[in-house]
Amino acid sequence: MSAKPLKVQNEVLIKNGYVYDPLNGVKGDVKDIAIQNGKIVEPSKLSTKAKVIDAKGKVVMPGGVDIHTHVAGPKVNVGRMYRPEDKLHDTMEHRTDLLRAGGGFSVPSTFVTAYRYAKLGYTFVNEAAMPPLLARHTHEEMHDTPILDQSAFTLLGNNWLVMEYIKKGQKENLDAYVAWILKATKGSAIKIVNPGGTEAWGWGKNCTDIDDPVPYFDVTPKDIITGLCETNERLGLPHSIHLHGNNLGHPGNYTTTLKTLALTENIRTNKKSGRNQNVHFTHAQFNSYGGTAWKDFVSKADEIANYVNNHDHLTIDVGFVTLDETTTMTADGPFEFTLHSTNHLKWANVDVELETGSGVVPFIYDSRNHVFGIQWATGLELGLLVKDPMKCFLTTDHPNAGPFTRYPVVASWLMSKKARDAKLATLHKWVAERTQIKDIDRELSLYELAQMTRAGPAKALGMSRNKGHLGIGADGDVSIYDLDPKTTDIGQQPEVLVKALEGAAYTIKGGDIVVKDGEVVSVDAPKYTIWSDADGFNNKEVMNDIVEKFLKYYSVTLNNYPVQDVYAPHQQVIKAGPLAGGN
Amino acid sequence: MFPSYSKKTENNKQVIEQRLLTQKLNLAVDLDRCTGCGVCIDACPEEAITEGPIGAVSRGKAKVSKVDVDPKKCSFCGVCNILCPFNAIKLSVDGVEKLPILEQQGFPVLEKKAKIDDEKCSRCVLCEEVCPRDAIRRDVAKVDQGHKAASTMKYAIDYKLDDAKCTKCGICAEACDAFKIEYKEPTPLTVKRIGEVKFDEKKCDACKVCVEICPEDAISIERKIIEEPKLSGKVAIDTNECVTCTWCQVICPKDAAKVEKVFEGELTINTANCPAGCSTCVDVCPCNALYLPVVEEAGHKPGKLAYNKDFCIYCGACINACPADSTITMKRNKINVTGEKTNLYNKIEAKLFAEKTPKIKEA
Repeated sequence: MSAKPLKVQNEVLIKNGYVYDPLNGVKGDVKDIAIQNGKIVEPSKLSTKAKVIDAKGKVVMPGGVDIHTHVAGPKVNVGRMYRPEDKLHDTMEHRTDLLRAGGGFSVPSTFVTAYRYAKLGYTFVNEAAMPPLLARHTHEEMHDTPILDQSAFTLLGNNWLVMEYIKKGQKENLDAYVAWILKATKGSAIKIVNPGGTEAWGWGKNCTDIDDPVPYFDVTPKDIITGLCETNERLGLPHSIHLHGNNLGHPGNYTTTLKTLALTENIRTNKKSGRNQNVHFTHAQFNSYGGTAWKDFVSKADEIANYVNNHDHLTIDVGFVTLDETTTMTADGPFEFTLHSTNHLKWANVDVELETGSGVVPFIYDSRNHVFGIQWATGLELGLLVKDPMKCFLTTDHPNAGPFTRYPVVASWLMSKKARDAKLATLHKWVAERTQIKDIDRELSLYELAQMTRAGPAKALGMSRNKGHLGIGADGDVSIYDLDPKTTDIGQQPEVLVKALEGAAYTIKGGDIVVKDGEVVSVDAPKYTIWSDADGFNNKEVMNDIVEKFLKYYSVTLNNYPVQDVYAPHQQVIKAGPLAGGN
Repeated sequence: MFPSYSKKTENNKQVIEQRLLTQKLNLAVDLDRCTGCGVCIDACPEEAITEGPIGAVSRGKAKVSKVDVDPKKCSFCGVCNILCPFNAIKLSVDGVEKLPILEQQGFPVLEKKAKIDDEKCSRCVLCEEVCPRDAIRRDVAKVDQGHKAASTMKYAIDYKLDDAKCTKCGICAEACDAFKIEYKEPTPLTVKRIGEVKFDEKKCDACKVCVEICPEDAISIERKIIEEPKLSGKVAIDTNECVTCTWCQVICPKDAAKVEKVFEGELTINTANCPAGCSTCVDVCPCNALYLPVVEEAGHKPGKLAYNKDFCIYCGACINACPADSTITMKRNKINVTGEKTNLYNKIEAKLFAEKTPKIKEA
């Protein structure tokens, strides 16, 4: 981060809003929030020149933090390219003097992605799956996604060297390699997608259980998950391992999920990282299924929620199904092929040498079909049955379960039983019969919503020093919604909530007002790429292994592999590992 | 001026010639039979034979000889002719194939023990198909399919006709040439056909269609096998062409082929040194003993190169052809010969017994 001039600038005072700031325990108190030089400060420090925003009768929250979304990189762009019809479903954004043209309903173009997130009051989003070899693509697209601070998770769950070190039990080498590749790709965390299974997909096979051996490498998903989790804690990376489990999207997979979640129960979480969990299990809705086939498909969200309620070593995000026509895109190659085999829609697949794989298939979550209705209910059950919203976050695995633009609707389902019941009434009768959703009366509060969308994700990402709260020293990222919790009964007026969340009254990023009355008014806010530097190793054996892999097996040379600084002109580096003085 | 020397290639043979005043000596290398094994190179007492581009020639990319003989150095002794396991070199004197060394000083000759037990042989086609050198002479008459296939069997027919049941209807004769019905047409007096059904046993192969088709169940036929069925003819090994690889012995379902290798020894493959992607050794192996292992299932890494010990004859062609260093090591420890082992032979044998491995040579 370049040193800023000491001149006092960008002063904003947000007066008299109902402030929801869970990390600081503020529950809707009427408070003033002051921003100076991009940071939250005491209101008394502001000069008289400060811009004043009257937030009276409005909700003030920290800028939204999306822990898991697919918005940048090769897989996303395949989705954009091979779905021109996706733009037909969308009201495309026209070019203005300020804004770029663009759009796409489920996979919007980069600029429009940023505009739409900003309109929702989000200021920080994580690209959830970055193939290391194709990291430059991800960073180039992040560069064209203004306003939002971003980071990208580096895919490591099917990496050859990772599997080799785990097989040989060379923990120190694994640590050094993971640190090296995070630095080389400017990634922020260890992402694991269908561990072992995507490598097996290189041979047209899969690992559907945590004990299925990976062809040739002779390690199991269990070994990969525990091995990478231990490395993550030794390195003290800000985020935990971010896990997309095996056997996703199959009836009866909740047993695999429970076995997977138990793997890291006894691994000590590195507390210096600023988080409490050692594993984040993502889009858990897709892994909470009971039954044996789609015919007898039922929700087992209660089992998963029960596990989450009784354990402290994990956090989850849900992956709410929004019942839209959308595009699925994941590094779980075999799953995407299965999906294509069931719906017969166009399928794209990319296998990345030595590293990972991926697939893209359009998907229509047709609300008349019981399966999709039960998926919808499963997600809501998770969101409502997990007692602590600091452990369960709002995502749609954008765009896999639905586009992120549906977050306000998802929030309305979580916060209003009336909204849920109205939707349930339009769905297949089996949805009510095979899930508990009609019997759950819980309605989340605005405070809990702020936990699910701000405080929880920021804490889990190990970024709660700067992000996800409004305490002194936090980044000046604030969203203000035109919603008066004193006069509005959200449970009875969910449409008011949706309208407020869809177009923030103000979104402030780093002290800049970027959205006003639901419209983007500035794109000049500072935008940072955040990555984790844990590299302080001088492990010659690992460097030799890397050199050998590039000489023998990669189709690029090692010198051309790491992402150069020019691809991330505004970077914030989080130091971990030996660099941070050891853990 | 004599002696005069020449070298030319014709009819796919490299022929070198030494012409004296009255005598003409020829040494011809048959390029089709030569495998580049290099036995002749080690055997040559005059060091007149050198190795050519074996891989390129066997792949048809170079139109030269796998071994090159220098007519000026060659003494036309014929040792190479005697020791060539592939029958690829021929010495002739004045146009007649001749080996003076055998007649004058004596020299042991390779002993190829390879034969097929005619009693055990079932005349099947397996040995002929697998033989890498076309050394199997399968002289078996071609059998027509269908009706005449029964001619391969020796059998007797037990034919019975129940005259009381037979109406001389003629269906059997319609169906098969073996039947012929001699009859008189029915008259108002006789009402039915009167006559006799003639049966020609030579035309019958006991297919029993007549038995099934007869509407009166009047015919009965049984075939009695007199001798175990066997195709007529003979399968034999041409020992001139045979290189004693034992493929026929290993595959023979009747244990009829018996082969003893002319060379015995050991071969080891160091796959770490194999560059892979070349397969020249596999291409040149005259016995199909070397092979590129295949991936059998997902994740299986089979290695770059392997060989089947049963079929290797330790000829050395792979060693000569390999472009890498120390990939294959071969050591012969026995050569089966008959005849007195002369001093010259013992010297040559010592050279043939030396351990061999490919080396990258300086240009």
